[in-house]
Amino acid sequence: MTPDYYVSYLSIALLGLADILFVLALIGASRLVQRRNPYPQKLTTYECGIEPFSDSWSPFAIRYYIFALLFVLFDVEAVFLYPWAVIFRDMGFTGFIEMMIFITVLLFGLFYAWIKGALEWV
Amino acid sequence: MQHDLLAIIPELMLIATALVILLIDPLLPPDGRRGLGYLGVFACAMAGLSTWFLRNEEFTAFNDAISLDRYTIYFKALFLVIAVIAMLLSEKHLELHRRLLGDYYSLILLATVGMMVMTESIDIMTFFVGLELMALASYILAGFFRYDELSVEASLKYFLTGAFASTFVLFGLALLYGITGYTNYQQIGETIAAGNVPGSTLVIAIILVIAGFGFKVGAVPFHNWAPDVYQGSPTPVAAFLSVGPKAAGFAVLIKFMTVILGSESGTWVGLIIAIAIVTMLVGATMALVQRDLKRMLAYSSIAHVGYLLLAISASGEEVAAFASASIMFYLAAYALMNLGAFGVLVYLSNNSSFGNRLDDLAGLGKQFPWAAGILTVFMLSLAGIPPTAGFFAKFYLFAAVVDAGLAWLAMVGALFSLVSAFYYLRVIVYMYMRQPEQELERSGERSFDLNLGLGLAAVGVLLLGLYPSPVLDAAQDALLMVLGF
Amino acid sequence: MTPLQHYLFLAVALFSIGAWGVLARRNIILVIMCIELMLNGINIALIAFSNYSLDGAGRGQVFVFFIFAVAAAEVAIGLAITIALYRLRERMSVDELHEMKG
Repeated sequence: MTPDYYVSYLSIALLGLADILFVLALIGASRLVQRRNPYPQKLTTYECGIEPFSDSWSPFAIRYYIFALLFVLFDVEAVFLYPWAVIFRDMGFTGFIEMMIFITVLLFGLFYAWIKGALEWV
Repeated sequence: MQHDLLAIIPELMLIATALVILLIDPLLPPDGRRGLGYLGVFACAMAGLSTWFLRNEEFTAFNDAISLDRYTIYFKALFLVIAVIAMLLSEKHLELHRRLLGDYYSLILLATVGMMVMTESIDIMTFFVGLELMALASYILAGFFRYDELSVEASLKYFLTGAFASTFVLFGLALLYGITGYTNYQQIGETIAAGNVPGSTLVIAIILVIAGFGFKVGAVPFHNWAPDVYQGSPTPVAAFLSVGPKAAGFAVLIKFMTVILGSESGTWVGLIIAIAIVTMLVGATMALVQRDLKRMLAYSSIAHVGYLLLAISASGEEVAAFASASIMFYLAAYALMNLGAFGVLVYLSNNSSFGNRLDDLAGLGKQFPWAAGILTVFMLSLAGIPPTAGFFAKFYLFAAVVDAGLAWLAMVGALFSLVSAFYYLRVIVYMYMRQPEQELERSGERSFDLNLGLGLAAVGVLLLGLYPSPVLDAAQDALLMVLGF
Repeated sequence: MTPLQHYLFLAVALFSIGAWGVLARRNIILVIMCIELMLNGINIALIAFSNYSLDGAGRGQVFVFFIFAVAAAEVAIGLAITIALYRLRERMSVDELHEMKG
C-alpha cells in the first residue's frame, strides 16, 4: 500500500476532530451563559407536548413479532429479484418463467399465513 | 434445461406435495386430516419410483450444481424409506396429542428434500441451501408439540446449537472458496491437490468444517444438544431426527473428505480418529447411566456416530471404497433399527401409561408380547448380534477399519461395542425378567399405520441381517461409479 | 485498493464477536442477533474473496444472496420458537432451558 492511500484518510480524521471540537464548544458556551432552574415539570420527558403516562421501555405486544417476522421473510426474498432484473433481457423467457415459479412458491407461503390467520389482528 | 429438471424429479414431487398439503390442511375438517399422511407416503412412493427409473442415469445438472449418480440414488432411496417410516409412526401419536396437522407432513417432506439436495450437491452453495432446508424443517419438527414445554425447549436448544454449528460449516466453506476461488467440489479438490493454497488457512478451514459437521451429526465434544433434543421432542420426531440428518450428514462427509480433502488426508485423519474415540467413549458410558429410554437411545446414537467416524478415518487410507461402502450399509441398517426402537416407544406410549422410563419396561414381555418381541429385535440389532442388520453393519465397518491398517482402532471400537451391548441387553432383561411394581394402564389406541411402520422396520432389520448382499452391492456399485475408486 | 487482509480481519472480528456473544449472552434474542453477526462476518469474507478471486465469476457474491435468504428464514424460525417458549414460560433467557438434564 502506498502511504498516499492512508494520507487520503487524514482529511476525514481532521474533519471528525473539528466536528467534535465544534460541538463541545457550542455546548460549553451554552453552559456558560445559561440560567439553571430545574423543577420536576421541566425534567419530564418531552413527547410532542403530551404528558408522558408510562415508562417508554414497556414490552411490545407479542403479536407485533408475527407481522415483523412475515415482513422480514418476504422482504428478504425480494433480494433475489434485483440480480434477476439486471440480467432480465439476457435470460429471456426462461428466466421469466423461473422467477414466476419462485414468486408462486412465495405466494403459497402468503396464502398459508393468510388461511392460518397470521394476518389477523387478534 | 429439460435435463436439469429430470435430475430433481423426486424432489419436485415432494416439494409440490408439501405445498399442496400446507394449503389444503387448514380447509379440512379435523378428522379429515388423516388422509394427509397417506398423501405424504404416496408422494414418497412416487418419488421412489422416479428414483428407480433414474437409477442408471449419470449426469450433472444446473451448471454443475448437483449430480445424479448411483451414490445419490442410494441415499435418496434411503431418505425416502426413512421419511415413509417416520410418517407412518406419527399419525396416531399426533392425534392423541391433538396436534394432527398437515404442517407436520409438509415439514417431514421438506426436510427430506433438504437431505436429498445436500447429498446430490457438488457445489458448496447448493449444499448449504440443502443443509439449511433440512435444518430449519427439523427445528420446527422438534418443537411441534408447542404446548409442551419440553418440546419447545428441545426445539430452541436444537435451533441455537444447530444455527451456531451452521455458521462454522459456512465459515469453513467460505475459506475453502477463498483459497481456491471455486465453489465446485471437484475444482476445489483439484486446486488443493495441486498444492497452491496457503496451508495454515486450509487447516483452519478443515477444522471449522469438521467441527460444524461434528455438531450436526452429534459427535463429542459437540454432542450436548442430542440427549435433550431427543428426550424433549415428540417421539416420532426424535425417531426421524436421530436417523435422517445423521445419514445426510455422513453422506456429505464422505463426499467432502474424499472429493475435496482427499489429498489432505494426513491433516484430518488424526483429528477424526480422536473425535471418534472420544465419541464412542462418551456415548457408551453415558448410555449406561440413563434411566430415560429416549436419552439412552440418544447416547447410543452418539456411540454409533463414533463407529461411523472410525470408518470415515479409514476412508482417508488406501481402501477408501470399502470403508465408504461399509458406512453406507451401516447407515441403512442404523436407520431401520433406530426408527424401529423409537417406534416401539411411540407404540407403547400410545397404548398405555408408558412414560419412556427404563422401569416402565418391567413385565412388558407379558403385557405387550408383540411390542416386546419387536423391541428385542431392534435392541439385538443395535447391539450388533446376529442374525440382525446391526451385526453385518458392524462387521463390515470394523473389517474396513482393519483393512485400512488401523486394527488397533477396530479393537477399540469392538471394545466399546461390547460395553454398549450391556445397556441394550438390559432393556431385554427388564422386559422379560422383572416383575413390574404396578402394571401399565392400557388405553387401547390401535393404529394400522404404526403397526405397518414397525413391521417394515423389523422386516428390514431381519432381511438386511440375513441377506445383506443386495444393499451392500448397491453401495459398492455407487462408489465405483462416482468417486472413481 | 485495500488489501484483502483488511477485509478478512473485519470478517474474522465480526465472526469472533458473534461467537463470543452466542456463548456469553443469556438473552435468547441477543444470542440470535449474535448468530446473525457471525453470518454477516462470513458474508464480508465471501464478498472480499469474490472481489479478489482468481476466476472473477463473482460466485462469492451469489453465495451471499443465499446466505441472506437463509439467515432471514433462520431468524424467523428462531424468533417464532422463542415466542412459543415465552408464551409458555414468560421468560426469555437461556438459563431457563434446564428442564432436562443428565
